[in-house]
Amino acid sequence: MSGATPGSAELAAITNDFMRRMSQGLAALANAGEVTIGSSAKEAVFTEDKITLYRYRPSEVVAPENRVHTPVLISYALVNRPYMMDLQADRSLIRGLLQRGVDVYLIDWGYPDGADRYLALEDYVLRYMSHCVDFVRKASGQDRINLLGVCQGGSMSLCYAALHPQRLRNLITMVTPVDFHTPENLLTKWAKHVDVDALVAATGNVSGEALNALFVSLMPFRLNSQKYVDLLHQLNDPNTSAAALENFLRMEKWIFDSPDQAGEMFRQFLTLFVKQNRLSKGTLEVGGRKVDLKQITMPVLNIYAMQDHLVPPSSSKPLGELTGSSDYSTHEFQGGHIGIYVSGTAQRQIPDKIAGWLRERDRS
Amino acid sequence: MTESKNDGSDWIQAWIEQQREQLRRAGMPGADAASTGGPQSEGVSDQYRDLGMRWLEAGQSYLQGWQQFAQRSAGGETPLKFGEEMLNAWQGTWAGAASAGEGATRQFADLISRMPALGLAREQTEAWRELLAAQAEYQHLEQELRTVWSKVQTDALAMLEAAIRERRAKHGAAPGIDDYRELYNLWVECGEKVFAQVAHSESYCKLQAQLGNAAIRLKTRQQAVLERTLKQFDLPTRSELNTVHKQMRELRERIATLESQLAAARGEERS
Repeated sequence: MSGATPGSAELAAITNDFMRRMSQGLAALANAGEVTIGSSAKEAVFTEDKITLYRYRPSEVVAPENRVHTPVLISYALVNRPYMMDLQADRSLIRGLLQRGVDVYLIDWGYPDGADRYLALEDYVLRYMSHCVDFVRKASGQDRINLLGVCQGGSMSLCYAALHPQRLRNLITMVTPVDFHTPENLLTKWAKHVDVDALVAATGNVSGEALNALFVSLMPFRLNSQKYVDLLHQLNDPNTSAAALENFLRMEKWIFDSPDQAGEMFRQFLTLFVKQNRLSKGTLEVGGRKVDLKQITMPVLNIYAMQDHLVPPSSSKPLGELTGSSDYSTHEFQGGHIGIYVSGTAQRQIPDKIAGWLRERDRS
Repeated sequence: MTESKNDGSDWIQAWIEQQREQLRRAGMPGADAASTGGPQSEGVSDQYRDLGMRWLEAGQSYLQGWQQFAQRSAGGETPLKFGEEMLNAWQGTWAGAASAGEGATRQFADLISRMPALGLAREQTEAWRELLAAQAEYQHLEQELRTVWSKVQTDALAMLEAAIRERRAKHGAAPGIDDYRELYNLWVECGEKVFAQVAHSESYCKLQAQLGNAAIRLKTRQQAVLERTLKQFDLPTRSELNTVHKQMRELRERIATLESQLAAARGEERS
């Protein structure tokens, strides 16, 4: 710009200062080491194809009378990795549950590759999930266990619960989309005109990188730019701890550690759930069997986040009207889709809510 | 750090103008506040016109080379008439394209795509022609989406300016923005507001999906050309692997059915 322009000298000075801060932040970032993920001890107890069922080591300090006797099986979404549930010691829903006497199992869906492109909804619900449930039932010696579904894993859990209600004592859904056609559902609007059949025919599996790009493009200014500028700015602050930088990097790893999606499963999910909204309409079939949510008669706890931009509350709330449960509860969390697992408020609220709710229904 | 003195902060207006200037240079539509939402910018047209002229120059050199060759072959006689006609046609095509302000590459691809494939290489030609057409379609839609994104940026800048004016009106001469980062955060906020409105619109949803579908068609055409090459070297293709995977899946389902029947016969519970 010309030096004669009013304010240009001041702008140059301010810009230089901003860039200097960014450069110093980058230098600090270059010194950051690798981050570790996960905090709670666990062991693989069952595997099938690429999936692994983990059992977390129960806390030894919880008195027997305070334990929840029925184990809970966590079914995470297929997008992103389930270690979000146990990211680090002070950001771990699983640790919180273990400390409150809950026996926790978790399904890790693994990383599908080209050989898995024909895995379908029925494989995930009626084979993998079903086999994991059966394993936990057998290992715990209980006919019915607790199932906790997260996001897309919650939608799959609803299918399983409707098809096998006799195997579940309680069902918990977290940030789970049920009605995909509410006005706030931006992903549904974007998917409306996409030729999913052609997409899967051309790509086989759908790449995790492509999905990352999609999710980031929901809020492009914030997610492509602002959060990094904020980080670099914070790194100039002598009060910013090394732990804060590690937290950021750990979260960054989780966000972009996205498995590819098995092609056929992706095609079915986008077509049947997202585009045709069959789960809430009651017209969904899995393996030739109709998914009737009225068959879900066990107690249900539906937890959703009020500022969720991926699964808006309006998408989760209709579950109350759709299940056949006479014991239906909700918990509204003041936060977003990720904050519900990692925020300080979440650490205080969510494990307490879940463990308390399960304990009340443990022997009912 | 250097802070604004809140003295009316001319630097903010200077920054906004700087951003507009960058958008203007990039040929983004609406960079000029007065022309926001107007026709495609001059910058983009210029780029296409330049491209067209380069094609024209290349074509003239090529045909002139042939003319010289023909002259030498004919012992120094006048240039071949067909050469002149082709040169005129070539000039007419590209000069027309350039003057109309359309992309020369697109016109050329369009010309090729309308020619019928013939002869021994008919199938290969057709595959390549389809690939070219898919690529042209993709590039066209990508440009359309870029235009929308550019408008989001310029509208965000206009919203930012309005927000600063509003602050000035509330707080007197000083806009209440003390440093660059505060201005940046306000710009992000404006950007997300503008984008959220666009992102929920039917036209954007449709355009984004159209681009995605075009990308899929392009990939399919690329695969077709690639698989043809792989077959020539007797290398396995994705299509063949898909067939194998389908067969494996069918076998697996049959085994599972047999296992279920066996378990049922034994009185065991199965899923």
